[in-house]
Amino acid sequence: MERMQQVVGRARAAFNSGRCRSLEFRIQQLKALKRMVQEKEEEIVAAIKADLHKSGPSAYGHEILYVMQDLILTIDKLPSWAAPRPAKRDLLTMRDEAYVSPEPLGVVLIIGAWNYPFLLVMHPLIGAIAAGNAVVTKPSEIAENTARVVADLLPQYLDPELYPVVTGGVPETTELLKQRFDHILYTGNSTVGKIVMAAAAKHLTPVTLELGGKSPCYIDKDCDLATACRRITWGKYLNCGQTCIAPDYILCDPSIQSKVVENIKATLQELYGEDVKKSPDYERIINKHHFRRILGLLEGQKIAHGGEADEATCFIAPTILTDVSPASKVMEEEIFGPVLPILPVKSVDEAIELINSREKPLALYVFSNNKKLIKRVISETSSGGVTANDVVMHFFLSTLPFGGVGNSGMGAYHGKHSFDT
Amino acid sequence: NPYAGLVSHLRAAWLSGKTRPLEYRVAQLEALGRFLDEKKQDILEATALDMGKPHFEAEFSEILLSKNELHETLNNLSDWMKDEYVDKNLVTRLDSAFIRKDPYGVVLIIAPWNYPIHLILVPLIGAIAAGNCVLIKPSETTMNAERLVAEALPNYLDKDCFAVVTAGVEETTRLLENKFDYIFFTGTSRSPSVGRIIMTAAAKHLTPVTLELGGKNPCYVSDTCDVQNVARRVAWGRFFNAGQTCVAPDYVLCSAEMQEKLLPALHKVITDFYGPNPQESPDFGRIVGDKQFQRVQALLRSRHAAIGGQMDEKERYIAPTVLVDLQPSDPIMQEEIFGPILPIVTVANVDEAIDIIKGRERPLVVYAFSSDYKVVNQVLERTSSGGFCGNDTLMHVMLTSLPFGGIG
Repeated sequence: MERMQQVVGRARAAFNSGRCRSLEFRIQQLKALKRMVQEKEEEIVAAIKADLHKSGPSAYGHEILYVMQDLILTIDKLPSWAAPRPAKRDLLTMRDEAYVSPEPLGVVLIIGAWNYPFLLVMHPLIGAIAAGNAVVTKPSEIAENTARVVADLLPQYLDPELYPVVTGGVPETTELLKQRFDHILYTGNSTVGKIVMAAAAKHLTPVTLELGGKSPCYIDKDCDLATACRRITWGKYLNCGQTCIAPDYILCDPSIQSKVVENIKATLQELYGEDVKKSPDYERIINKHHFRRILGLLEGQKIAHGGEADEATCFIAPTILTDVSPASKVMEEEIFGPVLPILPVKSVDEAIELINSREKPLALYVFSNNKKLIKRVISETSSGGVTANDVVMHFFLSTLPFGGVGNSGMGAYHGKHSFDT
Repeated sequence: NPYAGLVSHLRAAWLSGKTRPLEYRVAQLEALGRFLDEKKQDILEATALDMGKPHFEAEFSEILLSKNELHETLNNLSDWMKDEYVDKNLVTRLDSAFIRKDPYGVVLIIAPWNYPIHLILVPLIGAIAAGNCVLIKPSETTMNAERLVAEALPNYLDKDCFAVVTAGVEETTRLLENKFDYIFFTGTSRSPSVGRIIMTAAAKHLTPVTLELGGKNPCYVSDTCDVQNVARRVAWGRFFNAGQTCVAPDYVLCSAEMQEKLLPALHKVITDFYGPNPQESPDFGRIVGDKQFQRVQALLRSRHAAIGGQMDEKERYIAPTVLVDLQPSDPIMQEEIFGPILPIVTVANVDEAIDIIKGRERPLVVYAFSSDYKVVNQVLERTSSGGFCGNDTLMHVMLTSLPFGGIG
């Protein structure tokens, strides 16, 4: 489609004009983004609500808050990030100047995901703008309302030639991927990740792929079980399980399985009340396709809690499965839904073996009072990131590079790491 | 899949955790040091046979630079391996937050023919230091070096965790069907198609890659400079390894007046370096193979050489050659030369030079010579390249504290 060629061509011409190189320009654009988020907060929150049945406070807390934090951090730190970094010299070069000079790549493509539709477009965008690039943003079409809001708002606040928004589904994205970019950041699943990388290979375009996987959660017998289960419940059912770093499945000793179930049930009650369906804080599955997919995973499983579903509203109750076998369907792919399988394992060795027999996950969780055990799990497994004795939290620390490894992705971002990418 | 067994053997070794402890990595790295020391003569002979590489060049580029890298790594490895603690925010104030450096697993290193030992060893040092298992594929074009690596190197390293495989184009394609956890490829930009093939193959397994390719590296020479000095440094960078260096200055951009001054200076320098007949000099290399020789020879056709231009097909010898008054549209300006030919393109001023550079694909390195610091900085700021060196050539490659790579 000529449209894609034109949009990208205009962005490249705008980049070549050199106007996004100065720090003043970049900071001005970032400040405009900040104004946008402040002034249009209601509109943005409403769109997220419509897409995911998310409550106002949740939308704010999950997406807006973090975007604002990142904007403030980036605006503040940009001059120091962009400064040349002196390199250690040796005998031969002692009288020379040696340094690494950060420079923009050119035209960056950001492909967003539907689960945190605002955050996952804004967060990479902030880094790309800060680094002095022109950016083409392609929000996920599955989160229709947020995509529309992004397409409407961004041109109102940012330089429309340098930072165009392209909307559309698979055909438009395929066309877009035929164009030449200088970096592509894609958030989504591994299957499409491969397609993106193959398309990028044609132009030798470096990529950052933020994918997913089945993030294991090991609960040791020696831990504060009540706290562990509270935290796991929060992380698992957040956004109705549609979080790339949600604890996907639990590994624990069979003797504590029923206590884990009890604790989670109690926390669910606390978080969502007696009738989950009526709770304004419980989200919905994004669409019918995923609804049916997730429901299909329950087949043949022992449902210890939950299991209720309503197709009309894409509602699936918070569900816990027990005595799950590693070979079952629910253990084949990332669940991305409010279904929590518990797999009994007899020891941490068994847990580690199971984890290592699978693709490297995006996140890994371990709950234990025993520091040595935690250290061991971290050393003997490989994952994009780890939080010990809590879940999800490593995402929020912008000084930590956030990304996957192996099937869960390549490259990382957040904070300065976005700029460096 | 002929390599499946080999790859799974390496993967099993990786899963055993053998390559992780610092002591193990250090032991393997020290063995590499012994390889470089004990096999020095063999390396010099192999590269001389393969491409007439002068002993001095081989000792410097293949052995010395590799040892440098090795020492730097051995001296710093335990620090590099440490967890990197990061600043925390309010919510994480009481926690421990750090970045853990984890090996990828099984790494594939594919090396080119121009520095056949160096361009295996330097990435290999990094891969071992990081705790990976490694499969090495040396270039099939430099057959003696390939044989040396395939036969001798495995005797120095743990055969469970490190292997060498010899393969031509077809076999390498089969090799790439396997899943690796990281692929490190060095090749020239005249075959960007190979870089693309590698990345496309890697995409099937979501394998991250490092692609060290090449480009036409421009060399801007301003009117204010020490002509003798510039001539020496540019000649050294261009004719080292008979021009077969990815970071060699590929072409010169300068004013017509500067061209007039540079020519006699270059002529003198070439004579100083290689004597009146470079073909007889022990310090001047040869083109690596017939195919490559014919390619470079074709580039010279229809151009009258201002300096040099002599060729001897039997020896694959091409004299250190300088061409003048070229246009950006000339055939020799369309691909990376990778031979001992230095075209000079005349420009009116630095702005025209920068425009020419910007109108082309981003090179691996940009060179700018001027005694006016502002001019050097202008070129640096207004162009984009993997690396940059002001007032010298090749030097930035030798500083191990600078990240070396390309862009675009």
